[in-house]
Amino acid sequence: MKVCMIVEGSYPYVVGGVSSWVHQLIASFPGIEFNIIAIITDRTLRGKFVYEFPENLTKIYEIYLQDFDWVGKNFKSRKKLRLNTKERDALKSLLVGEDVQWKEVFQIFSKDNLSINKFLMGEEFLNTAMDYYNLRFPEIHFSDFLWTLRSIYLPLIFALKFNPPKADIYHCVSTGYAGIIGSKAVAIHGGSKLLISEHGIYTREREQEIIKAKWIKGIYKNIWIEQFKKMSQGAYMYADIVTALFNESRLLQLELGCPAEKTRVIPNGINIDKFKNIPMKNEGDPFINLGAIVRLTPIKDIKTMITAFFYAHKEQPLLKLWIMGPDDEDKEYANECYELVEYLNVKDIYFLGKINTADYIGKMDMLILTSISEGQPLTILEGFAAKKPSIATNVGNCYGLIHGEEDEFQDAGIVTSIMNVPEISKAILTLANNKELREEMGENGYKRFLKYYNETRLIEDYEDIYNTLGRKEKAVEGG
Amino acid sequence: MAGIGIQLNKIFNKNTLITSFYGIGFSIVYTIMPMLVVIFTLLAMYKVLGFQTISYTERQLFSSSILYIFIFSLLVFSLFTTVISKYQADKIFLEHYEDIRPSIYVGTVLILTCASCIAIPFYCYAILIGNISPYYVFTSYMAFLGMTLTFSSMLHNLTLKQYKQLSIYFFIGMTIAFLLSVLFRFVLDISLTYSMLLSLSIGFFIIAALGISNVLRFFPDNSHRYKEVFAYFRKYWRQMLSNFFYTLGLFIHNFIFWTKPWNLVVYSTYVSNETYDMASFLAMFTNVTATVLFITRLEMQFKDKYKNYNEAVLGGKLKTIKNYEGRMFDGLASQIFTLASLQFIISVILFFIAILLFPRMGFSGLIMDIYPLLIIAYYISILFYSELIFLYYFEDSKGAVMSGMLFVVITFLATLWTSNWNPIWYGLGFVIGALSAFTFAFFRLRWISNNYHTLVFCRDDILKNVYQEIPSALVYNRNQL
Repeated sequence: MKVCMIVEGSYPYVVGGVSSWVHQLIASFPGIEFNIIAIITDRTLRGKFVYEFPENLTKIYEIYLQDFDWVGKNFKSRKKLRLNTKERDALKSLLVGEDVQWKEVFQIFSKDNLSINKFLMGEEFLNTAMDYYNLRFPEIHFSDFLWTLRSIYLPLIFALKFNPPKADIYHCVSTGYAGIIGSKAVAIHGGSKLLISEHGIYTREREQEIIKAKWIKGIYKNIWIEQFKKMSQGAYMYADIVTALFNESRLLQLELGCPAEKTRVIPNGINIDKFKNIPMKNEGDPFINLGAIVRLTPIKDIKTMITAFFYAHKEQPLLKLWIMGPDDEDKEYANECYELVEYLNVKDIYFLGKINTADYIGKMDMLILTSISEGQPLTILEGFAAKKPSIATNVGNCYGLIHGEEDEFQDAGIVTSIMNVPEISKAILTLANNKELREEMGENGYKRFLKYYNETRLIEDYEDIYNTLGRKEKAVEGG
Repeated sequence: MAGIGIQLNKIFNKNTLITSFYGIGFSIVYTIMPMLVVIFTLLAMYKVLGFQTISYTERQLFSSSILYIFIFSLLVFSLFTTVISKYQADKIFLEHYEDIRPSIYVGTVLILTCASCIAIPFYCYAILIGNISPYYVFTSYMAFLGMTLTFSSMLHNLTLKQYKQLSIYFFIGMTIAFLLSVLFRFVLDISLTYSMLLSLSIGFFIIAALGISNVLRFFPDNSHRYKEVFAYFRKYWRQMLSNFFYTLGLFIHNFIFWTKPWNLVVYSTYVSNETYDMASFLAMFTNVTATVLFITRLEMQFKDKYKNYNEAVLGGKLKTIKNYEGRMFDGLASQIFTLASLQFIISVILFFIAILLFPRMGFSGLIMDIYPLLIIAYYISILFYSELIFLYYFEDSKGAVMSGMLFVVITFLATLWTSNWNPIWYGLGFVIGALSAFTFAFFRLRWISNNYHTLVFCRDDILKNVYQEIPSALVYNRNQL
């Protein structure tokens, strides 16, 4: 069996939760051949892998969302683009977003040497954009609208132009561009199946980013958000199975139009063996180690973490904060964090960079995560595997992990509000000053992890899915 | 021309008979004054120095020299004028004033180089084959360069709207030329034709020097970005050619008649056709006042609509854009129609005046037979020129160069055909060429008006084109390790 995983902006270029999950999954199925279709920003990242690949990962393809228009030497590419009636209707359905005729859209972009310039700067796109404008936005500036539309569709066209290699199963790790490529793949390769595993809900995450973005104004935010919704709905339509990490996520998928019968909840899983016999904290060490296994990026809100620690440290000088994760993803933000530490003159904050989690997690007394957006953070699960409680902000599945989702186990940490420095400080002090509470919560987390979040269960669930989809494909082949 | 247009609009908007005559006079003074000054200077020289007293051959040598200087300097200049003008207009718009000096220097060097490349072989021939005296030939060459530089300085001063200054410089230059001609002839006892040629040559250089120094005064800084000027020529080569073709088209019919058996050959070098050339000159002169008057008004009124349309494109709703687009093209159509009808009236009136006056002035016989069709031809070619201006506005350089080429080719072929007919049909070839070019440009403008939103919103590319097959997306293949 051949599984083609389609990943956007993570594996194998960036170390993180999603990348680790993909790597773990591939390594867990040595009998399946995996290919990767990696969607990245541009060619400057070409081949810059940060993982060593297992043997069953045989090929990696790259798609760039910013690239040149490779029109070929063929003179045809220099002529005007003309669409037939069916193609024109498909294009209109794509822009307007009602019952998108994805199959016809895929066919348009499967043409040899289709020039993106001829398409986006051509009369067909202009006329369709004018129809869309007159239908929905007749009162806004037309030039701004047209150029917004072009910038929205440019990365999508790069994705649509890619012709996916043949595989039995296409496994997308998000909707968005990955979902569309997966959809195109099953549309053109009859008999193949599409599996979507969403870690965060792509549409919701893009929506949040767009709402916060200063470079998009007013009604254009709605246009961008609608575009991502369209892409997700397209992917859900073509998918055979759609998984989420936790139930709230699944409910969001249903809200976004995913048919309920396609959905399943498959939580993350951690390999417990990784956390056996790990180095522990020295007996008699008086310090209270607070660990944060995070990348230094704005979404992890390290600044709030540092500030909260600053206030907690004033009350409990034995506290130490260990921030363990790479700082190269957003150098500017990382420098701001270092500057904040200097400015606050906080002692006992240590930046360790990229580490092997197992080497350090045992030495921590508790973990902290102050993200403003999360899915089902692996760092909390790893903490549970090492019997460490977590302080986390109420994002994604953090509440469910720490307080349980109507299971028989007690709290495994403290959940706080996002960016609430006093609340986070108080949570740090609560656990710092109560060793028994820490140990009890750590034990609760461990039990919860054993029952619901261990790797064995994850592999079994995906094995079942791959077999189901593979059997359906074989059933189709066998007639 | 826009500066005159603003003032003309103010004058004509008063809408009285007196202000209309004032406007006509204003336009004539400010736009064709330089040409009038040169003509009057020549006439004054002819009269005072006694041009009629010298031999026919000497008179023809001088007339032919001046004819060639005028025509070929205009042709050389026409190759460079649109691009330099565009470059300067763009830099002024961007307020990069330090880039103007490089354009003046590059333009001057290019024009003089091109002029010399044409002139030197010709004048060598004149010396070696024509046996014209070298000092005369050299002075003709200098006059040619001087005339070319004068056109160049006119261009720069027109960009700065220095119409009054230009007229003053011409007046100064030609006054000095006249006085020098008198000095050379009567005090230094130099031959009459050489006195005239030498003094005109000095006069042109004085005008050019005054003009260029006036422009340089406005732009003291120099960015030294000469390569950018050359880059503009590479980018806007079509506009270079279209303007050249138009100018060539205005003279190519004359060149055909220069090859006729009844042409005039002077010193085995200068070839012309007195009768046909004179008829052309009179026909051109009859139309030129109307040209200037109405084209400046036309450009100004269209410019407002064009500006409104561009502002709507930048920040308006689609409905507004379409409204302004409609108004712009309606305005264009009505302006061309207005120009055609008003100029027709003026040309007819001047034609009737001409056929009464010219015979009394000594222009009769064959000249008056050829003259009517040439008036029609110049009338149409001026309408064609107005269409070219609009094609430049809409950045349809392809259309502009195609119509220019059509103008030249059809005029050439048609004149070859009609030059063997009865003299009253001699000008028909030029008429056919002008009409063909006008028609082509008209339909081109119509096509633009029907497709303008596409031309505006689908211009250029959003990505860089790479004319290669896309590299393989496969970046890792375990089987090949």
